[in-house]
This record gives sequence, C-alpha cells and structure tokens, in this order.
Amino acid sequence: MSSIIGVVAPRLLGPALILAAAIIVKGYADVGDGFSAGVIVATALALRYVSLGWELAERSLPVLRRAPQVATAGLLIALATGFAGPLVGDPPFTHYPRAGESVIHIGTLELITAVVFDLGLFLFVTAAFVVLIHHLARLAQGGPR
Amino acid sequence: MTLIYALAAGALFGIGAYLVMRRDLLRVVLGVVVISQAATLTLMASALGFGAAPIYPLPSGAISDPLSQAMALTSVVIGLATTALLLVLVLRVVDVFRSQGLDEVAEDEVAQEATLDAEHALGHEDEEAAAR
Repeated sequence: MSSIIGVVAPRLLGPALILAAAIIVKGYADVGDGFSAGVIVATALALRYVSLGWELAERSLPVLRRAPQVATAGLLIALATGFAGPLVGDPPFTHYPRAGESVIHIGTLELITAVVFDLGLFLFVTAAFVVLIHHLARLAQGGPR
Repeated sequence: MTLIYALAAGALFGIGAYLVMRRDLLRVVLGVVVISQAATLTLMASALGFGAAPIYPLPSGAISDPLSQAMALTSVVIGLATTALLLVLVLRVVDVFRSQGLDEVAEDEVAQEATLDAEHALGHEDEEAAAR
C-alpha cells in the first residue's frame, strides 16, 4: 500500500462528511441529492477499508459494524417520508410544506420533508456500500464470517 | 462538444474492450466497469443539449434534458451492482481454483472434466460387467 494512501485515507472522512452535508443542503436550489452525498462518504470509507484492512477500520469506527441496521433505518425513513402523501390523500413524494407555503427556517436552512427523504437515502446508500465493502474485504482477506 | 463526447465514449469503450480481452480476471472486471462508464457517457451525450440544471423555477436560456440524466443515474447504480457481483464471482473463482488467470482456470476445468469422465467410464464398465 502506498504511503500517500496510508496518510490521506484516515484524514479524508471529515472533509467527505462536510462535502456530503453541503451537497444535501444545496440540493434544494442546485444539483445534488442524498445519493451523490452517500456515494462520496462511502468512497472515503472504502479508502479506509483499503488502507487499514477491515478489522482495523471497523475497530476505529465501530459504527461501521452497525451498517445493516443503518441501511434498514435509512430505507424505512426514506419510504415513510416518500409515501406519507398517499396516507393524507396527496400524491406520493409530495413534500411538506408544499410549494408556495411558508417554510420553517433555521438560519438560512429551510426545513422541508424532502430533506428527510434525502437523509434517509443518504444513510441507505452509505450503509449499503459499507456492507458491500465489508463482505468483499472479508472474502478477500479471510476471517470470521 | 458532441464530437468530444463521442471520442471520449469511444476511447472508454476501446479501453474497456481491450481489458475484457485480457487473461487476468480482475482486468476483465475493470474492463466491464470502464465499458459501463462509456455507456453512462453515451446516455449523457444523447441529450444533445447543454444548459442549466432543470430545477424549478426554471432559469432563462437553455436547460439540459433531465431524462437522459435520470437514465445515466440508473446506469451508474446498475454498474455498481454489476461490479459488486463480478468481484464476488472473481473472488469465488480465486478461492476455488487458487488462480486469477483464465488460462489456468480453463486448464483446471479440463483436468476436472477428464477425471469426471474417467470416473463415469469406470462406473459404466462396472454396470456392464454386472449386466453380463
């Protein structure tokens, strides 16, 4: 393993998380969504797996062991917010407050349910990618299944 | 711009095809990945229009076609799943045959088939002897 990857990989997770947050936030006025944010974070995590090996990577970030549960939670969040509309007689994927209505602001951040959907999607994509890398790494390097 | 897209997609497909024809299984997988990138680029180029992101409220001037971008996103996700499946298959092959080379895997298969045929023939001879 080259020394550059060994130095960069552990330090890349923070910037990747910031970039992912920026992509999710700007996704409501510009290009960006939970999927691309998830792929960016998952790439940083994949680099950790490559440079540290799966055992060390998961010991240094124990939340990675909970990836299947995180993926399930993200999927349920995305499904719940995406299909809340039909329960109250609106089309699927309707976001609340709807277009033109007043929005709750936190600073310049606007709170709409579409953000929750994208956060769920972000969690699902990241965790599904981690599960994939985890199993590939264990198949390749051996160890307990 | 269309010419650049066409050349880039053609070059990617060429690189991918070259890699797929190699003897090393990992390079075959990488070739499939590069070919799927060429497909994504072709889908993006097939919009034949370049402009702002198609998000309401629409800006004045040209906007890009969202359909081809949605197709490109789909092809990215399918490419991810295909890559994962191929990598697992290669890992299984390496596990079973202890080799990544297509030649060695093919030799192993021929040897295995020969032993299987020999066992089969032995079984038939026994049956014929019993019938007599």
